[in-house]
Amino acid sequence: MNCENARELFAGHVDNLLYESEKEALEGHLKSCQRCSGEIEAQQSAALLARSAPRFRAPEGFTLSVMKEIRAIENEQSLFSWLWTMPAHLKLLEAAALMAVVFMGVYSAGFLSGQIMGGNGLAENGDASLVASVSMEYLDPVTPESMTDMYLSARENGNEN
Amino acid sequence: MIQKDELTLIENARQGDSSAFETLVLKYQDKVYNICRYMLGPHDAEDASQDSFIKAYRNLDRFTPMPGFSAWITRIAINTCLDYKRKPAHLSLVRTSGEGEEYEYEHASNGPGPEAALSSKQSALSVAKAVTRLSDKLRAVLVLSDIEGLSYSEIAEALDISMGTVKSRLSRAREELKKLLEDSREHI
Repeated sequence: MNCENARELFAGHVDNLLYESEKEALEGHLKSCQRCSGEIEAQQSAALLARSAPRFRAPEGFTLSVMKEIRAIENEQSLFSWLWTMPAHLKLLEAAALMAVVFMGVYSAGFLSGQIMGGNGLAENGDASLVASVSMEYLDPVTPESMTDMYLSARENGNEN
Repeated sequence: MIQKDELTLIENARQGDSSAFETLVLKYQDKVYNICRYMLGPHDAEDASQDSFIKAYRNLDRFTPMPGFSAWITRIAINTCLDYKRKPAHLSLVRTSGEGEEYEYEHASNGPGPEAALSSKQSALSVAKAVTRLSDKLRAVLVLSDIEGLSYSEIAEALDISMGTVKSRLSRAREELKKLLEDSREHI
């Protein structure tokens, strides 16, 4: 056995995993080779030291953190699979309902803003009116007389209806 | 070889029983964390460990009973660590890690012997530091063999290398470790 062949058996010798024939051949070589003998001793010592190295433990709450992530993935997947497995007609129905809700929202927003702005005569007058609507002049307090007039005309309108 | 109850847990987890997977995480969390801690240092070890379990969960359908969950999760952990190391941001964290770290430890070997005097906390720490100075290839084999206690075939499976390569890398890793420890003692 030469040094190269002997080195291939070093790890197995240190870990006591050699076949009897390999062990005998290696030991025969070690008796005649001081260099290999020194190397194998160093490796035995290094293996003992490595086995004494600390084993780090996972931080507290590690499993909980992992499971939190996994449950979030599960929730995503279940929502996706629910949508994916829905029958086609239900998907269409759902899409139509969604569009209807959006349309209603847009329409009612437009209707309300139109009523507010139209009621003050602002919609027709464009940007200039809009600027005027937020001016201090527009927000001037009404006089007590005009308040009475407004109340009376409202009453009259009510009676007419 | 995989244990029967582990196979049941994996099957249940595949069916959507996340508590079954939780049992597996609890069992292997220290092993995975220890590997990631040696491969990456303290800053990225926790994230990499978490990623490893999440990858395992996402790929449960690809799991095969041979070589077993232990070897499979080890392989995922090693690959995750290598992915982390390929990213420059992670690389810089690894190189500045390990100073003044507080941690619990236990001795892999507690029998008496010529090196028993070195099994103090301080010596264990200096060995750990020397291990982290080995190259990735040598470190992975040494950590899996001498610290995690995996067999040569399990290491070969986890690292996707031949048994011959495991033996030669292990031999070189031990040789390198011995030199690093001698150098560090000379500098004290």
